[in-house]
Amino acid sequence: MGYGEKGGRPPFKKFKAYSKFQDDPRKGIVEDDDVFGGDDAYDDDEGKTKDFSKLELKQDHTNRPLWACGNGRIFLETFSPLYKQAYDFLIAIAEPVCRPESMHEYNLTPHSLYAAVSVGLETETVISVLNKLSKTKLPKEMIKFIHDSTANYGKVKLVLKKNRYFIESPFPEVLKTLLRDDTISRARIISENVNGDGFTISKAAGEIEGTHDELLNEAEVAAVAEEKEAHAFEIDPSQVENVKQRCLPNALNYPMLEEYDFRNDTVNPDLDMELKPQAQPRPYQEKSLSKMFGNGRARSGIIVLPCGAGKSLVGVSAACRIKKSCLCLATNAVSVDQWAFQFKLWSTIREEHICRFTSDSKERFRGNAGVVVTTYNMVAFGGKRSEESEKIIEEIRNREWGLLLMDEVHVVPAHMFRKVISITKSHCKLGLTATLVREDERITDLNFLIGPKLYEANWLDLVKGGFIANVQCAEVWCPMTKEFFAEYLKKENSKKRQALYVMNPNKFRACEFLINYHERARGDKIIVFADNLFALTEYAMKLRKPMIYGATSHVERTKILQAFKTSKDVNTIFLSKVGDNSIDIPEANVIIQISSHAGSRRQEAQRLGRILRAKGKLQDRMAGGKEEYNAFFYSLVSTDTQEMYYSTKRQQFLIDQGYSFKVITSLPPSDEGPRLSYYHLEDQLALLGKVLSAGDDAVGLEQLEEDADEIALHNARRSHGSMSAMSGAKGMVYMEYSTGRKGQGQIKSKPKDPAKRHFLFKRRYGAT
Amino acid sequence: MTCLDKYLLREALKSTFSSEGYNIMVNATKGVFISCDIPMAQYIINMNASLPASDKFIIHVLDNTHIFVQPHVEVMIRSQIAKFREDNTYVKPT
Repeated sequence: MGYGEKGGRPPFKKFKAYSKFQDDPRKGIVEDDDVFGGDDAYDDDEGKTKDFSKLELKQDHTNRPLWACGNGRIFLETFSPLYKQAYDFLIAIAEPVCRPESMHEYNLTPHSLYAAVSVGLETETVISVLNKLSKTKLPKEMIKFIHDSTANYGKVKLVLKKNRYFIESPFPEVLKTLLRDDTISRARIISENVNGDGFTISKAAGEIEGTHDELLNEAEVAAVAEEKEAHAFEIDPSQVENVKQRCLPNALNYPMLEEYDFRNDTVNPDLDMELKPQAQPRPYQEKSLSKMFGNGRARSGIIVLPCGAGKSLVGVSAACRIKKSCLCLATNAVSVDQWAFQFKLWSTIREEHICRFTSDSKERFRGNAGVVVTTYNMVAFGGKRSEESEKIIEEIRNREWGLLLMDEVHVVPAHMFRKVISITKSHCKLGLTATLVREDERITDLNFLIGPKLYEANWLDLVKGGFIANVQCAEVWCPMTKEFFAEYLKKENSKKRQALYVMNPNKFRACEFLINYHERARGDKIIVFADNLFALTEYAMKLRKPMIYGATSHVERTKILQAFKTSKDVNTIFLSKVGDNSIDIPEANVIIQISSHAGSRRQEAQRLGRILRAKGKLQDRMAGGKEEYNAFFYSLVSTDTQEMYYSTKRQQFLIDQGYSFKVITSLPPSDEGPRLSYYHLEDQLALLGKVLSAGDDAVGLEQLEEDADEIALHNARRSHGSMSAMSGAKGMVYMEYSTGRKGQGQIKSKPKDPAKRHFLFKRRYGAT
Repeated sequence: MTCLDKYLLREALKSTFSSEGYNIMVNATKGVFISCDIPMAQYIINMNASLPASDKFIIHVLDNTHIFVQPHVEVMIRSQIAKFREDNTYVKPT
């Protein structure tokens, strides 16, 4: 087999200079330098922007684990003995950019520093620890940047009191500055009993207001707290999110802290729930929780853990610590059931305190506190509801929630969040996700909708620890056959392009070979993914394997999945994109992807997530164990087609997590010959005829009414949510294909200007 | 990997039968001989087909991987193929 390595790209790449670095003398020759005179120019350009050779090395630099560069980039050596400590620190203060095996790249951003401050790190601590770890003297730019970005943090606080939102600060001047902003002053609700400034003044009892440098020691803290007057004004609950956005570093730069002092909350009733003794959070789960509950209070934010690494245990543990009413939001009815199950599995919560609220089951909890598990759609739904669900929604709306637990936050579009957040009032929000990427760049919205990223696990460390499966990723290159490629190129077939490259006979043969190999030689369980319904049916029929897609009934699904889990005869199933997220198939350990949704990085990562759940014995999985790889992820790609573009784009997220994709060029092996289908030209031509005669809509992408939603997944077509969905009135951004169009747009608008090309390619063009 | 191997077809045949009195007319055409993989050959054929009759450049399709074309189109073919390949290559935005 022809193997070549790709991915794991070198850690040095162009950086975006901060506007804060205007005084950086290098700025003048940074990337916007478009003048180019001959090939050598790029080398100079590339060289100078990253030339940090002038940085002063410390004497004992070999003992220190990281390089800090003036442009905000930090490079961490993972082979250093201090790696673990340095990693924990860096993940708190910087965004991971790319994490291959031996060298990680991080980026300091205002947001990441905001997150650092909100987990309790002080400016001086950040700088001194960074200095301790760095091989070089910390560049002045970086110190200045850290100072600038953290100066105002912690001065303003958003507090929820008796269902009303207040902005609090010990400094009336700061509040005045904020009120000078239009958005904020409009959001303000003027209450009656105000003093001269118009701020309500309250003695801050028990709660500590103020900047971090005042937190000198316990005694002083207490003194400060007693003296401190908290100035506050009330804001309109529906405007909370806008106000938060205005306060972020890129606007007014007074990011608001949101902390919930749940131990001292006597207003809301406690919920009697504890973690069961057998629930042993793993080290990284503990760590992520400690970030959330750093100083005995709960902070809002997002925790990022790979699929299969036990996100639900983190969620349940958080709820158990807060011990207040908890609203848990999932993406669809299947996950609602799973979450309810997880709550019962890990915690001692009583049966009657947990209830599910979906279109099918409308349970209501008794007592004054409890856990409600529901979907985003159920809460955000704007149309007319049944009387029963109207009552429940009313209850959700009126309650003050201790914790708002949000699963898969990356899939939910901003407007849906807005709705959910405006409807539900919560003291603390916790977002959980595996893939904090979206193709529409809306991911930054989460910063003000939920909070900063509190913790992000390193996938490769979890693989090494044996917590998730060690996956071998491979991209199989299948050349197009002559006839298929000729049709692919024809203009009139532009709508059938996808079908043509997916149905490429060489790809089919590669797929068939891989299925045979893994079923017979290794006894693996295989999932084949195809977004294209036409291809899905053709492949499944030809290979005589069961398949599941949007229209498959719930009964049939359960039957197929059951057979896949238990029967020795059913080792392969074909799934359309309904299987991306929610179908839980822990048995599978091989994925073959024959078609995909354009360039969606998230889909790629989610699909990989289907096989990440660790299997087998722990010692076998650890480094040096019996099996190096215990899961396989194949992506079949027809060369010379658009698919190559999409495929590389899709892999980026996983590559940034440190995965590398092997390129396999010689599948199936030539000696397989007629043992696989479509060996003879007549068969291939018959297949081609079939593709060409199929209608344009038949060969397109599967269009689910609502992706990953209860309606498509749960055989609940009767639910009242579906009418607005049918008319396209909701969840449009949520659906995959709208972002796909953007991907195609990108291919057209790709820079053709030679100056904007990647320097490797410029060179190639220079030569021709 | 596409590769364009250029050969000049020189004046190939001179009649060797003149002494016998045969008179065979030989037409020699100068051109570029392209050798590439199957999909690229299809790409070139498709490119040729999309042009108006006066601009057609393929003199002869020899087999699946070899084409004989007019000499002046070589640069054009190279750049077209480079562009096509570029469109199918993802470059991570920096």
